[in-house]
Amino acid sequence: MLQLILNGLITGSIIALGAIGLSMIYDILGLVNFAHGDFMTFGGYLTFFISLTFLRPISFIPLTYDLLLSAILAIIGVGLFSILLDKIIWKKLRKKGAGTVTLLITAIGIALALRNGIVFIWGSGTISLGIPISQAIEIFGLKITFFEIISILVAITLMLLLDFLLKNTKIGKAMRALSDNQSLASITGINVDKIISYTWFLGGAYAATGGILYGLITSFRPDMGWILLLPIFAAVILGSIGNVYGAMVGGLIIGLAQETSLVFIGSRYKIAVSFLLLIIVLLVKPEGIFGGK
Amino acid sequence: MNSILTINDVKKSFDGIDALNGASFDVEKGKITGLIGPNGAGKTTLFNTITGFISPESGSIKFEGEELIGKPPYEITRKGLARTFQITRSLDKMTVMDNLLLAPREQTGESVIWPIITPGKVEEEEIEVREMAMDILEFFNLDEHKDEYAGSLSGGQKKLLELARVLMIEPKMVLLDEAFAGVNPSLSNKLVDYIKHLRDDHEISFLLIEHDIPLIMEVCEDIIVMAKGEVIARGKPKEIKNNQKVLDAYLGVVHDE
Amino acid sequence: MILPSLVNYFIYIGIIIGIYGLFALGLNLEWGFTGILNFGHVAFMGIAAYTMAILNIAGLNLFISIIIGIALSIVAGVLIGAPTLKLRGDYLAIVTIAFSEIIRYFYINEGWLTGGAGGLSNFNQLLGFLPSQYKQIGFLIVTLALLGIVYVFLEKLINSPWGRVLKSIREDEEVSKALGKNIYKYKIQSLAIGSGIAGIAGILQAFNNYLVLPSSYKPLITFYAWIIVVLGGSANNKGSLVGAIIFVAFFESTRFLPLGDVRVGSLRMIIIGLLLILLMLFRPQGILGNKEELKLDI
Repeated sequence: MLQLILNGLITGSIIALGAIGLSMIYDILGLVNFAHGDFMTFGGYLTFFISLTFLRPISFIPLTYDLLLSAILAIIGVGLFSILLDKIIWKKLRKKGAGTVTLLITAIGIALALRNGIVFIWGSGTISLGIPISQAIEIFGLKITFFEIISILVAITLMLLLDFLLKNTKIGKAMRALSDNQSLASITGINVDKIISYTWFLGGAYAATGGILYGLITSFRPDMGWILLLPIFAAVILGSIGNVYGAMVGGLIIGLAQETSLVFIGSRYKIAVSFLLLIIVLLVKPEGIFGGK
Repeated sequence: MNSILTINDVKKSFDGIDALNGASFDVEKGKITGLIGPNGAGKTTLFNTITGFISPESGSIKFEGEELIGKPPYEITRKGLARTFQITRSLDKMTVMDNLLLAPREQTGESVIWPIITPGKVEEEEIEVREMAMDILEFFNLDEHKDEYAGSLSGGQKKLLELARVLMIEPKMVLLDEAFAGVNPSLSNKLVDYIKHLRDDHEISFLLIEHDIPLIMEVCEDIIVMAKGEVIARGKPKEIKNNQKVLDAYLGVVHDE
Repeated sequence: MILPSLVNYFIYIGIIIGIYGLFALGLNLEWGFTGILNFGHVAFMGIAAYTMAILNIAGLNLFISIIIGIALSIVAGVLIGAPTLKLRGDYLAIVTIAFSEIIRYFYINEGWLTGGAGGLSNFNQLLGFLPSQYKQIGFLIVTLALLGIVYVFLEKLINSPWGRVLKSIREDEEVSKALGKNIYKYKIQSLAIGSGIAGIAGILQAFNNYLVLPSSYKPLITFYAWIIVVLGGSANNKGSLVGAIIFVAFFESTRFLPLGDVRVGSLRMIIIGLLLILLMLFRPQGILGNKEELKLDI
């Protein structure tokens, strides 16, 4: 059981990384970003691409640094890509006053194009970064792999970083203001477009990080992010939309629920558990456990 | 007196703030009654409560002796108590005619099976309803626009359309929420004539929320004044004009603003 | 020899268009005319197909199995709609997609009933009594006849006072309520009928494939229906048919690109994705949609 809880925390921290961005974007732009899971996948594949195309040929970089550097570049890359999409698509739709459905369908369009772009270039199977499979080590009788430890550490660090950004930086405060009241924020002289860009960057970067970590502990597949999307939705709604702390907690709860459900109903319905949780939350308490606005 | 609507001790609060604090009054049948009061007095909240859009914490609202609290909006409308909205809500992407045809109560064709099983009967009903709609459109001088989308009408025409649509319900009583707001004087005179005519010839009772005090003094036979969720005065226009409490309530708010 | 196989190919395309056309018409009633954001449409297709297959394999008469299958789709529509149709639109989208995935996991996992990932194939054929050379054409006729019946039925309903109420709900629920309409009842009816139509499409698809498979009921198939409806123009039944024709034609015309199955498949979806984005940016009312009448956003 303890092992399952540990596994739940690992899955949960990755879901949380996805949920943070989804929640912020949902809140500020009213956009159910169906492409968010594919941003995660994109992060993983970009790492793969950078590493194999640019870094491996420079043979003097040790594999660990190679990976780290590729990952960082990929994370920034997905962040910038998110901003780019905002500039060429979302901004135009905002100006037209497009509502829920237009945004939803556009997001599905992006999701399909991105995921299949990945398939088109890299194929539909799993890809390998050429890293040896890391052996699980045992701590107090609990099995955990190197990348799993990294995942938890990175996720915790990024959550603390976000907390710091939101509370102590000008941009973070502006983000919170925008999330509270958009029209008021623009009156008070906050550059709304700029804040939206930062939000996209953060959302994209966090998603990419989650995707890379998920790929490292499982495998890189074109549909890995899409499969995570509904659990992420569940986390976002459970933690109340727009509440990044709620998204973190929601992610952990969903992760724990999925893994510990093994005890009760077996592995076959693992993912369905989060869907069921999602439906129950929406029916019983649609504003999420942390209230909402 | 013969009252059509009786409101008794209705309470409703939002986030701990009392919007309705035990409001009580009744509205006399066949009269045009005005409901005035400063901003935040709870007038629109009261309308929403009467028509079932909001459920109050306590109290009683009776229409022709029948309790309305707990009933959904559509049932209340079907009893013949109709309303308009503070901000005009036309169904912009439907034609003017369809806006009207939508309104009548209990149309056979509105159930999912009858249009398929007895298209003839449904068609007959449609013809009748359409005739009635034409009469009403002519009455409001909207007949030329019947096939246009409601969205293409001017603001004033939309006000008329909303009133016309409510009449298609064949209501016994109509609640008008600021029907005169933003309406030019000539249209406003026309609306007054329409309302008086409807009261005289069709025996429809009216309850009006209005900010234009001179206008309401002219139209209404009976005026109810609300402030802070309660009724503070009631009487004929002349009596209200000279009521110190009413003056205080309005002046108080003016100072606050 | 080329001619008969070409004819057969076009018959096959006609059948696919008919199935997707039906499937999209169901969604168009829910979304286009009522404003219900159903992203789990494919579930109702699967429920009818699996029910039919399971009952028929268990020995029940094929025709009765079909009727029960479609009826169960309708019932499922009511059961899903009853608790969820009061939710906000985007929440409804997420709940319905989650529902359709749970159902699919059920098919995969409950092999004793559903045959698991391999699905079910031992059910009778609809036109098993026909000589084999007439089966395809016969099936095309059945499909198109059903499409025609459903189309006429929907047009009648949409242009009736019932349809008028639906349009008012799509536009402004509050007004509809204030005019005495029980909007909840109408939404459930719309979802139930739409689901029943999806059920018909599902059963035809099962016969066409000689197979029901969990992977036929992925969320992607629901997206296909959305693409067809949006492409043709929401709230326009003709648009859904035109959308289905274009969609299937696009699918089939890219089939022969010399890129290999995986690449052709992904290229197709890239184009569809980009097309959706462009459509939303420049022509949200679709090909046949009426700009005045379309209300894409609720």
